[in-house]
Amino acid sequence: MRRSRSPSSASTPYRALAHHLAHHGSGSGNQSGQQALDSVSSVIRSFNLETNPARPMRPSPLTASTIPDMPLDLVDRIRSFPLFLAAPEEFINTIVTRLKPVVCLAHEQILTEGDEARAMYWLVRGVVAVTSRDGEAVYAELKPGAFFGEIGVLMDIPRTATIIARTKCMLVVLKKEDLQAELPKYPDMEKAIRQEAQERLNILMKKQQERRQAATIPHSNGSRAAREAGEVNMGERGVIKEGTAIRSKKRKSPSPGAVEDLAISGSVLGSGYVNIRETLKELPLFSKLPADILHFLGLSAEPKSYPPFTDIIRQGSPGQDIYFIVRGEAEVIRETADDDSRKRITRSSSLRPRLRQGQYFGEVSSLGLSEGRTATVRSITAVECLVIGGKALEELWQRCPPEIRLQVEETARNRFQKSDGDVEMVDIDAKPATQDTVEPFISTNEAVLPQVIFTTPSKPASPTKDESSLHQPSDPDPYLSVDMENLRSRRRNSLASPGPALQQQSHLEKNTAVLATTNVNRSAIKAPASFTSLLASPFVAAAPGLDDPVPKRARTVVHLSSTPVTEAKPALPDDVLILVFQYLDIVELIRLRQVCSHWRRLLQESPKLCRHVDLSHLNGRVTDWSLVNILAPFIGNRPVEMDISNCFHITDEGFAALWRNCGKNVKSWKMRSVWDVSASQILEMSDNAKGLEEVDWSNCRKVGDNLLARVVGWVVPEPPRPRDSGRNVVITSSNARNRSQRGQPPQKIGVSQKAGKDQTMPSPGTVIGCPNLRRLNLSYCKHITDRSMAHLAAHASNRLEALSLTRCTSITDAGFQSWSPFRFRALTQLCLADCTYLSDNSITALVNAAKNLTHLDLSFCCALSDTATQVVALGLPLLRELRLAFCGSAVSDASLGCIALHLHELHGLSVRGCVRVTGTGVENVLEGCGHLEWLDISQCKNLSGWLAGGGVARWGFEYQYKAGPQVNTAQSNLSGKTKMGAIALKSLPPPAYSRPPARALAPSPLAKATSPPSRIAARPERKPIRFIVQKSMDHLR
Amino acid sequence: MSENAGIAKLILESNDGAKIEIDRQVGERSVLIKNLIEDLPEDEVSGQPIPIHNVNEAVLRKVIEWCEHHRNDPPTTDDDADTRKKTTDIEEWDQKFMQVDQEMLFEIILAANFLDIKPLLDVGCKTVANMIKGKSPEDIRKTFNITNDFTAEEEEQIRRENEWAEDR
Repeated sequence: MRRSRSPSSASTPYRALAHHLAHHGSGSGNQSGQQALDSVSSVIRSFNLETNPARPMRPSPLTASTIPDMPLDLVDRIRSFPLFLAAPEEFINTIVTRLKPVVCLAHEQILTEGDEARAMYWLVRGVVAVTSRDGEAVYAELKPGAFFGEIGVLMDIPRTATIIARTKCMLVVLKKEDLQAELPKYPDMEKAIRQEAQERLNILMKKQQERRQAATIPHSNGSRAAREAGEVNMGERGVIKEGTAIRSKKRKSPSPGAVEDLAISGSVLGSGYVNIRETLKELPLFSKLPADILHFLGLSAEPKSYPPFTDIIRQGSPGQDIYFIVRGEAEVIRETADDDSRKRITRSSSLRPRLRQGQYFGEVSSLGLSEGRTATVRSITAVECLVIGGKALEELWQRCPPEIRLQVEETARNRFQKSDGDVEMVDIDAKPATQDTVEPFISTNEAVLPQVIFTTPSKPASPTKDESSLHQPSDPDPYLSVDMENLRSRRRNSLASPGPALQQQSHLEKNTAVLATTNVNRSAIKAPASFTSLLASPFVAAAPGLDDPVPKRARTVVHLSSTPVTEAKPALPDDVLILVFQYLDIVELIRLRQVCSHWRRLLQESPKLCRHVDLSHLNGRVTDWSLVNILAPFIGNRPVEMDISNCFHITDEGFAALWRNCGKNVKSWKMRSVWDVSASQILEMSDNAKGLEEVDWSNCRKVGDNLLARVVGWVVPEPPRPRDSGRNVVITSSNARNRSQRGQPPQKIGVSQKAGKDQTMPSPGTVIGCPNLRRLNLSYCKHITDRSMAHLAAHASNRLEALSLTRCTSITDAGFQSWSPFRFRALTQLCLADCTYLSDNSITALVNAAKNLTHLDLSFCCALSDTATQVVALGLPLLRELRLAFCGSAVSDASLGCIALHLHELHGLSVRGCVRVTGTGVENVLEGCGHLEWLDISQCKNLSGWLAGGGVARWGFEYQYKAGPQVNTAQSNLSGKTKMGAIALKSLPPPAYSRPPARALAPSPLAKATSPPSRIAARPERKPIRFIVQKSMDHLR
Repeated sequence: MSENAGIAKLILESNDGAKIEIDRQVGERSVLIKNLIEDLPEDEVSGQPIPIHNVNEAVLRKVIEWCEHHRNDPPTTDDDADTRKKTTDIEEWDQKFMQVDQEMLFEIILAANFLDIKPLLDVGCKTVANMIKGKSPEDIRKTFNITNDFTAEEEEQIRRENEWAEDR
């Protein structure tokens, strides 16, 4: 069977595209004969086999197509691509033989911006991303059905964007030569394709310009949503045939130039293929314009985007432009003319019509039917519009025959009057009114069906951002159940829908009549779902249409009185309001200042707000500017906790504003990866916040020994030699002789020395630095050396509670040697993950210094031997969590035996990747450590026997996926410190640790059950143990 | 515990005169009532209705419904305060419980505030917070029956200040 052939032939398409193209370069598809065609089907099959093993291997006879060995489903998919929808049959047949399916692996670069264009592509399966040249910025994602690369091919210009395969993808490729060879034979097609490409290129250029100006990259949520929807695809084979059947019937009316035909193209099918032409034609006024004029309009269309809550047009302002929403949502606001009181009358939000993708506004005043805009339109989400400028319209009127203009104006006037100037407010549900007025034109019209006006909400968003996102979501993929659902529901609602597909153009009039009723029906169905319309209808009825704007005021009044005005509504007292505000995010709080002056004052002044400021989730938006101008002034001195982790845009300027305004009372300051801030600023920050208890400086490049020493601080010792004694400890070289070296001159400490000079000797007993600092996260601070270790020992040994030195690779054994004379009584959590150079000597010193450790992480300390483990087991009796992942030489059955014997408090143990561990060792630990709750034995090669023997089942259960050791961390009673622990752990390379969601998601089933009241829990009562067993990194997902 | 340990039932009286008998354990979800019982001599508590001046019957019944459902909850400590602040997640039963019209919601919050039932107050505040989230200032004014008292200039200034916050 074919299946057997597929492996050999599949190899070709797996090659890089360029090769592939070269491979088929010489001849047309027909000439390459049976073999090439074979490879077509085998490519498809091999792709299907991998991506969807559930699909039947053997093609059903029904899927056989008239084109030799080209599966029907592929042919039909190609046909359903927007470009081909209206193409004559022979054109498609010709093109299909020239198309080559190609498979791209994930991350493969399909096109590179600037390269010569040699082919155009249709995406059949998978997802590709349109990116900047370096692949850093993703402009859009395309899903099946989209095509790309046509601009370059048709216009003979270099590639305008880079396309990268996100997943494994199947594409069909049409080479430039082939296209050029075939296209001239079909002048109508050529014209249609070229015009479309021109319009796109035009938009693309404008957009790029805009982007350059704005220097921001608009991100397409829409496309992402669309993509997600697209991923639902596959399966549903029965459905496919229905879909394709419909489509192929539709194809039976090959009218040249019918690309313009909306009934055929995307919008009716709901596949969301929005190109400029189609968008323009959504406006009934334009729907009947000849193709040439539409093309002119298309070329003059400007893409515009608006952030949320921006006025797009203002009521009363002059303006000629017509706006088409391509993405996002906007609302229509009518200002009352009631200016005297200067008060804005409270308007019911529910009475504001919303405009969505596919709808348009602004045409009334642009046609001169009213003076100025009749309402304000304001974006609610980020909105992208296509704008047809007033000039273009004027030119249009000059170009087109006068009777068309008359007709257009009549339409507009009808709309305007009918809905009493509310045309701009047309909500989805308000459309039927429009319908009636448009209808008369239809008979005179080429093939425009009024139906177009309805944009189904299910239509995927289609941003007009650039070349590729323009042809975004036209997935007519028959496998796509989402689309099928749309199609079906459409049919359910509309009796006529299959009809128009079948109709020849001669039946158009009858057809449209049916459709018109359909539309009414549909709106009737929809209406109840939207209370906007329910509310809006009495609103319109209350002020029956007069065409001057005066009644507006009256109407508003009517509507106000009809709104339930709740005077008796109880107001919340301020303290309750504050409680409410405490649940809101800082951005939300800033926004709420707009509500009224009282709220503004509360928000700005209440000391109970902004105590825990977390900007880490806003990292992309927290810049120097926003800190200086917005955040710092708003937050004020209120926070006790400040988290600016990952706000990597911050430099000294913003940081200074933040600590000056807000830092005074901060106890916990987290600034992971805020790496551009200089050491001197961090020092000033800590000088300003004397109460600092916790800092997270992970991955802050500028943090070094001097800074740490100054912040950790010291107490100026008693005379007789006050000169600088304490400070010296900072610089003692890495050994245990701190005390003896006190007399050493202080040259090495730049900062403290300077401080000393400036202050001309602080008096004895003066506290330098932050005396309460006790939780430190110094992960990835590679400039932290043994000097800091010595300083910590000398000045913070009695207060240090948690310390993470993950990947502080400059720390050596000597650093820990300096710890040994000191007692770190409070230190309970220590993370030394990835400190690869530490040897057993460090561990010995550590165990002597910090006997109260409860959490110790030694993962990836590869230099440790069994001795280290034994020392830990003997010396740290309170240990609750011990991580020895990938400490291959430190963990053996013998050392596990030692753990089992001595670590009775152990709740969690990780021996991930310790290859010497066998069943004996594990059994020992399980026997010995009565409180054990979880055990990570992933990637322990020599445990396979024990695992196969049902070891896990005997003791507990396998914890699925996201390993949850952190659950335990989170539950340790040291609530403050656990955060620290978790952070420390997050920075670890092994994925099992770096899954913060696991903490939130996995409230361990044992969480409450354990927490044993008595230490000597009786064996029979032992809870099942959670085992984390992952075979390898690959299996983590 | 108080010297009134013997009391098992309490009678609460709403401001519109309705008397509702409840278990003492239920009533003690309210710190106000709890303190009252502990402070007053037994004869003043036992059998005597406790007047709840600020709360009408409908609201009081609603509050009691909540207390009944949560009668066995462990007492909350101030230590959770910080973690509690971070999330507006509401457990399912409470969510359903809070599906009332806005007036009732506010009344419940006020009652919880008055009766000092912290967890109920929290749930109420979370519900309101969720109502506020993502709403435009205009919508919020409407919801809270607030008049926009900014002048046009002020409003414009605030709007500019807030551009950053709106730009999501």
